[in-house]
Amino acid sequence: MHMADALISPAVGGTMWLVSGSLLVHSARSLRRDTRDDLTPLMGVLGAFVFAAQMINFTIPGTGSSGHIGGGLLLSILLGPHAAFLTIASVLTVQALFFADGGLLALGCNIFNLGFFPAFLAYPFVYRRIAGPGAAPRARIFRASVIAASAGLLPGAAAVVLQTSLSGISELPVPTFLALMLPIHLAIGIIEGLATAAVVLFVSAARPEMVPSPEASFKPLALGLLAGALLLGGIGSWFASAHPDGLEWAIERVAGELGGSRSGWHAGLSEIQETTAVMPDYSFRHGRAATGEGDAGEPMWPAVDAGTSAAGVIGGAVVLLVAVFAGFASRIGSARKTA
Amino acid sequence: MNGRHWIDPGELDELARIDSPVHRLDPRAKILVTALYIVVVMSVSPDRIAALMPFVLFPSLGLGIAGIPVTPIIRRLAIALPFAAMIGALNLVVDREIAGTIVGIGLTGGVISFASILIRAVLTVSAALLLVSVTGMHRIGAGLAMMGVPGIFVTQVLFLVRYLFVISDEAVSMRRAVDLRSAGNRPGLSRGLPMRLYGSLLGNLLVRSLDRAVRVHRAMRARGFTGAVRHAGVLRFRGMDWVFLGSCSAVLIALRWADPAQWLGGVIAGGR
Amino acid sequence: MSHHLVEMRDVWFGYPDGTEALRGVSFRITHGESVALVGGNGAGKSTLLLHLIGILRPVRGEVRVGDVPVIEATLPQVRRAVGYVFQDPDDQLFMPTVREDVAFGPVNMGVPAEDVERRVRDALEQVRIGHLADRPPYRLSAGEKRAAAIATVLSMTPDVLVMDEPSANLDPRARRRLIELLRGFRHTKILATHDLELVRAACERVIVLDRGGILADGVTSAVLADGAVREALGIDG
Repeated sequence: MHMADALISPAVGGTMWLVSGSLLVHSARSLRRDTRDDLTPLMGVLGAFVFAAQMINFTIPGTGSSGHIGGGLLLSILLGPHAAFLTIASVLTVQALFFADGGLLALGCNIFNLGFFPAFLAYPFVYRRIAGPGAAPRARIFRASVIAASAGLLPGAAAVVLQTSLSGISELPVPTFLALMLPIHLAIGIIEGLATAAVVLFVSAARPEMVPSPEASFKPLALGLLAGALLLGGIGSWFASAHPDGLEWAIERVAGELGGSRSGWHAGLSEIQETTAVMPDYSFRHGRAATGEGDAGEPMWPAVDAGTSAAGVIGGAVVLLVAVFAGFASRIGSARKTA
Repeated sequence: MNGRHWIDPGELDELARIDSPVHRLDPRAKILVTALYIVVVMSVSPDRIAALMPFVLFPSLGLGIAGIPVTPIIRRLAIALPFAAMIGALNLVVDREIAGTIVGIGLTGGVISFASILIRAVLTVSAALLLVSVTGMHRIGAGLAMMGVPGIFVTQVLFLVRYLFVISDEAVSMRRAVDLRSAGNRPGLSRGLPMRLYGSLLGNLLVRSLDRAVRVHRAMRARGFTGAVRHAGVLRFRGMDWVFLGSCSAVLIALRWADPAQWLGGVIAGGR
Repeated sequence: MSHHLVEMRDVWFGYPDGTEALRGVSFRITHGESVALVGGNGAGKSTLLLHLIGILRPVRGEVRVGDVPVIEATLPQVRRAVGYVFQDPDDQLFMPTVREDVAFGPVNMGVPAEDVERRVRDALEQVRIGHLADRPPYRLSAGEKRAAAIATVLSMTPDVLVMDEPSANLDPRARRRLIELLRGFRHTKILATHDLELVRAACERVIVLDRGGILADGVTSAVLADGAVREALGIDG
């Protein structure tokens, strides 16, 4: 479910970065008031644990394939929502930076899709409700875990579809995409739930003091904040990607009010905005709303040059060669000493 | 075991200890330029390919001036790309209208966007890998903290990385032990374990991890820890950093706005 | 009075699951002594040591470091005076580089920045790993990790050094270097260890712990020659 940068437009990616960033700041603030003084080593070690755990596979009965645990629900059970969200975010960040697993642009999306739903929805409202306070019998833990895991993964999968389609890079039609993603993630959720429950039960027997019993209630204010973030993310992405003209229009207005003419740096600036505001999508191909600016910025189809004309190919090849050669040349020129 | 295991996570941090003009730049400048680069590359329309070519300059020059060997980068690219390729391949299937021709051969929109997705994946992933290789996780953390990322999150990432190898090693040896005791019934590390065995293996690993967390916590308290890790160290932006930040931003925006490949090709072809 | 006194008065401790780990332990250690704490696995060595910095508290009895009892209020000064080197260096080296780990203690103590730098340098030099200051801990050998762990505690300029199994996992060369190092320290030293060679080389006094109680306490050569002690430790097979 990790999204790669390749599928996200800067508008959607940027918006989700804002949403995830706000959630991170919010969680960090909540944790400052947390009375547990062992959170620092605990979160660090558990983050490393989830990372390592993802390297070990279990077989999925019935199919020939194997899978691994995601860990979102498990972390929530062991740490509580805020600490779990931060830990999940840290795992994804390290994966993106070290292992190029999921891009940096898409990191905001990934943190939200894989962190928000398990930590702030599935755990408090599904798992805790079903598992109940105190020690629960095995069957109840399994049930709570399976349902909660699915409740965490399905919205995440839907979010992936939403973000991808709003970005307009993949041309997979939404219904098809959903039909692919949702059933798969339901199955994954069930398996994840089983694995999570197995591990939780094992640890509860061996180190009962490390599995906190679900106690404090989740404040409705916090929930409101989070729902707001969700809504903002959805609306923001939609707006940014589907209404580039709206953005443009706003900028024109501001430029106009500032008294600037279409010359000088105002023109330059608004041209830049136009160019970047016409977000990559197939709107012109599929006949959706098109921008009016045919003379500046991106030309309209069928005049669009996919870079496959003679000029494009030659120019592209030359630039590529120059770029690569420059790289080699600079390597010879620079001093290299290992510290 | 999954593919990630044969990448040495410490390798990029090792490369960060090379000394070069790029390495000496302030981490914040490098983070900002990388972020801008990724945004700019991703903002290129998925049906443009030649327009992406100038952006190869950045990872190319970056790697060169910094003296970073290409192999570790390529190895990590090899792992990251198939995923993007898979999703991009869906475009190949879905979009079959001819959108352009190259040397007389028709190309479907799907092929073009697939190529564009791949190229952009290569560029953005290289940028991220380059950032880590010329800065190092720990200086990235310091830079982020100074730019407003919550300290608790920076600490968390650093701790995670610190114990990543320790716990991964434990996981690997536990997994191997299971294998050796399976008397050949299971064909090796890449196959999965049945759920019961999985539960107890992971459970054991988790218990060991929790025990370690307790011990680390004791060690921290023994040295005066009261709840928050203080990161010493001051980063100062110098002239060179401003020059770097300013010039790279300007060049990136210019490259995005112009389209030198097209122009250059026009000049060359038009001259005939 | 100085901080160089470590004392336990009739200390009893049991774990929540009922295991009694310490039964009426009493001893007094004075300034400059090098004391080995020996005993079989499960005898209670680590449990005893953890009382010295207040990580564990006695169910009955009292622990004193210097002039003060080890209680909540005195923990900061106790932990400054007693440097604890844990059994597994990976538990003790949790920062991204050795330098930051060694600085961790002084920074938490509120030492000003320039002094922190000086202390770090001195501590690293004392254990001869100055060249490893900027290494991440996972790139150190077992001996180097051990040295780094000791440095993290030296930078706090403690009066007492407590070490849990200091020679574990060290190859012969690293072990010899450790012994040399320890003989050079003028701190009061308390070492929990199985390594009798280390005991003979570095400690003039031995306290033998057996099933939570003190079996013997005296001069090294005498204690290790005693029949009951040798039996308890399984020395002669």
